[in-house]
Amino acid sequence: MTSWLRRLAWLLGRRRFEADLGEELRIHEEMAAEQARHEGLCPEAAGFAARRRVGNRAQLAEAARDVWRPAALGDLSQDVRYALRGLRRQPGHAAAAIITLTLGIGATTALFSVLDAVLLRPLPYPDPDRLVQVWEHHRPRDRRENVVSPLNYLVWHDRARSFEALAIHRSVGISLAGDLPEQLTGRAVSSTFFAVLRARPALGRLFNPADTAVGAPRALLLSHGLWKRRFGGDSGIVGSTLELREETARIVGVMPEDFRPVGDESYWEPWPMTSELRTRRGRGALVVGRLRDGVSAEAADRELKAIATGLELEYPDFNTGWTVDVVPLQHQVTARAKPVLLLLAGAIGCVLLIACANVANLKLGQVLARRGEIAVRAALGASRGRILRQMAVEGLVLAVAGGALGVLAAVVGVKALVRSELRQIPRLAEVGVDIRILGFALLVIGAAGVVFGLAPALGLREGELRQPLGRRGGETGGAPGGRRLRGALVSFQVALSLMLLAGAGLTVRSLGNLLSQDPGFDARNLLTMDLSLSGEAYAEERRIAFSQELVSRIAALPGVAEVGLVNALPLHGQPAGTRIRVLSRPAPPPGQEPVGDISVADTGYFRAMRTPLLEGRGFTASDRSSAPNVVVVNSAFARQLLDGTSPIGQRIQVNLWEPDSIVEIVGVVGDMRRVGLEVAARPAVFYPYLQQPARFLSLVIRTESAPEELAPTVRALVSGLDRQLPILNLETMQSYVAASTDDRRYPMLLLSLLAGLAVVLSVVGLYGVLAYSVGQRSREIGLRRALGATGGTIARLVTGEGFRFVGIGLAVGLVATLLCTRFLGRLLYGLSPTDAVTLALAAGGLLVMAGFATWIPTRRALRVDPAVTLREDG
Amino acid sequence: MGDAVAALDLFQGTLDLLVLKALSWEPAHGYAVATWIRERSDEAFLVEEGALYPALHRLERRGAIESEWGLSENNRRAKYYRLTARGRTLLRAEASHWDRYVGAVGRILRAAER
Repeated sequence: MTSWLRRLAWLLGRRRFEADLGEELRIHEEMAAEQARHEGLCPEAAGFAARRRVGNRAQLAEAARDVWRPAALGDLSQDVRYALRGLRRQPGHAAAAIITLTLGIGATTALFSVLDAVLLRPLPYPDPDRLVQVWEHHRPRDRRENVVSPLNYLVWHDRARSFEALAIHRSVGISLAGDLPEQLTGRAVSSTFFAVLRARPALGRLFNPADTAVGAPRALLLSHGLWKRRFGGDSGIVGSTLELREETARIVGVMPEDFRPVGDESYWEPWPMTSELRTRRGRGALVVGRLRDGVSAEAADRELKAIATGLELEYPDFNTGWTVDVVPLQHQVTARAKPVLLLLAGAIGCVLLIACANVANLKLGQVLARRGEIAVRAALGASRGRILRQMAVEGLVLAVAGGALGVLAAVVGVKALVRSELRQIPRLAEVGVDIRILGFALLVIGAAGVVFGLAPALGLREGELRQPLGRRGGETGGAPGGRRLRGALVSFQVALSLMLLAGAGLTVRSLGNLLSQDPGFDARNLLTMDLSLSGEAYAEERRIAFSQELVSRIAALPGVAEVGLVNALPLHGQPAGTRIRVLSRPAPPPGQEPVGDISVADTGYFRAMRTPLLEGRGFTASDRSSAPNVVVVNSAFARQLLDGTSPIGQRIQVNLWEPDSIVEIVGVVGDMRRVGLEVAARPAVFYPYLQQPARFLSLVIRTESAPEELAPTVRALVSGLDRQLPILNLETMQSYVAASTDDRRYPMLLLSLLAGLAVVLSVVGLYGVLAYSVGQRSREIGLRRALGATGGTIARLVTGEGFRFVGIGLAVGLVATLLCTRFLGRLLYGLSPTDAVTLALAAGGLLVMAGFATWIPTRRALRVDPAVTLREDG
Repeated sequence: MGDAVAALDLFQGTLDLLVLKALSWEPAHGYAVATWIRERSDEAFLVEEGALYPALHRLERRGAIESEWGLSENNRRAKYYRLTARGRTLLRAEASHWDRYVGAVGRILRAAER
């Protein structure tokens, strides 16, 4: 009770206390000397007598310390000092253990930070669990998460009661003028948008009705990123004007740094909900809402579905087959990333377990080697509890050392990750290492420390403690119990390693399968560039003239083989999709009309992409606006809409630009994979550029050598034609192909890294166990040799032991792998989760590595000289 | 110095009791306490400093006494110990316990004589 407090006070003021005690003793000594003089002794004898009586001052100080020091603390500090001394004595072991722990704990902490920010923490808006996203959903084609039509949105807005606020937003772009022309993407948002998210601007104000009045300049809200990057974080920016290519805009405010609802937007502008929108039928926007208090997402979902049923009847030609889904926003943001993150969490957990098993093995080996020392301590009076506690402290010291370094590594790693701005991890900017995560790390460290500090020692029973003092540690085998336990740990490691290796192998092969998938075009040596011919300067004829001039000039450049234009590049642009009506066929019931991608391409496009022309002809210069309207389709179109009959000469109706326009098919080209390498092509219709000159173009240039080399020339050429035209995305087609596989690539890389780590750790563990075993059994080996065993027998002895551990591990690991690889899910492509080839390769790889691990101990065993080892015992 | 009666060994708990008693009149420094015990016991108990100071620390840790630096008789700096209220209670309890203990042992010893 208060005695404890006094002890603590002593602990804190120890130095002063000891100084006081020294002085007090000195005074006592002086007084005793005076007394002795007083009683008649001569001064020196008096002093001597006094000092003798005061006695050993150090002993006194120690006695005082014993009185004051809190009992447990004394033992604890002693244990810690002992543990540190032990580590210093075996720096190799210590280093191995600490490095293992640093990697394991560091990786776990870093991953947990990411998981926490992405999956666990709520979105950075007030009351984020009330936010939902609303999608349209086409039932017959089971097409979920479809973008929304403004018409439907307006009806929901009018009729739904479940929402406190509902907002719609779409993607827009502007071109900044000036010396550095730049194209920006942003969002046009309804006036309710900021109310739904309850967002406040960091500078300036939100939009008000005056911003959308007739004649008012375009109003913009800047993102934090754009404000910092292009305007240098100038706080006077509010109210200033911004020169765009076609007009002048006014900046009304800047949004805070963590406000990034979609992710890539640089600015926001108002989207007035005019009555004209009710006639616009296209679907292209996103809708978010804030639920009214007390209303659940399911209830809102039911209400909107009911309204959607009504809309099917009111606008049958547009809404038949369409319904609505209401999804909580948190789920929406994280759903896609969740499986992969959890998978990686599992993998890292495995690596951490393997690391801990290694350290446990190390410690177990030490315990068995220190039998003698433990026996002496036991003989001197240490209880089993005391010895166990001391080992737990040793484990804890290691864990703290490794853990501290690991946390440091995690912090650095997380910072680097955030700076890398990896697209696949949503909410990446919110990731950071905070107190909760440090707490988690401490928990892991503590548990690990106690577990592998204690685990090895728990096997020691009371009686065993004193045994080795009797004989000179001369059991012929070393405690078989200890070796079995260590072997079991190694088998455990091997099993986990097989799982990780097989998993990594599957993802690597999947990526390989995907990349060898024919995309329908030749992506090599293709340079691409996006152009935006927007504004009054680029009216229809001007666009046609400009593009023709551009194409011919580029074609004339040395090193250019082909040039083409398209309005939506595969794996990069998003083509429009709409319903298609084949006139020679009976009209399908509403809601079951076929849909396809609609694009615009010029005469050179298919040649440049090396997409084969399968039937009919491509576009020519005579397919211009005065000529009959023609289109080219892909073979998916022929298969799905015409059951494989020839499309040439067929006439179709496409509801995109001019609702009743009828066009004739003149050619069929090969399918091009557009959404992703793993997604089969949809039916596609291509219009000739001369008949439908689109404003947003992608230029494709087939070069004879490396495409990057031509980039500066092309850029200069375009600037030469129009200096104000922003050039976007000057990239090679290969980079888009690679980017489309990013979703698979980063998990694959991480899994491979973890698998490699796991294998290395397991091999080290196996080596450690076998080396120790050979060392312990050197006498037995010598005996066998002396009795006539051949080298082969000895070698079999050692390798047999090693491969027994590995074999058990592989067997267990195989079962675990078969059960668990299904969790790879989407990451697999072209393989089953139980692909035999991959499993065999993984197991074979592990066996080879295990062979290396057994090689050195076997050689050592073979070199055991019986004359030496048998003599040692004497 | 004084003659042959061998100094008796003091048990730890008993020494604590004597120190409490020594301090029950007025605060004193360590040397004074040892002197007092030696004199009052007629040289029977020669308290070694190796036993005295640990006893003082034990009592201080239990909160029975407090210490404070002050000036001694001849204006020398010394650390004075003083009985606390808790110490007084402890002294009463230990003294009464001692009386009962001594009484019981004495009864047995006298009984053997009869």
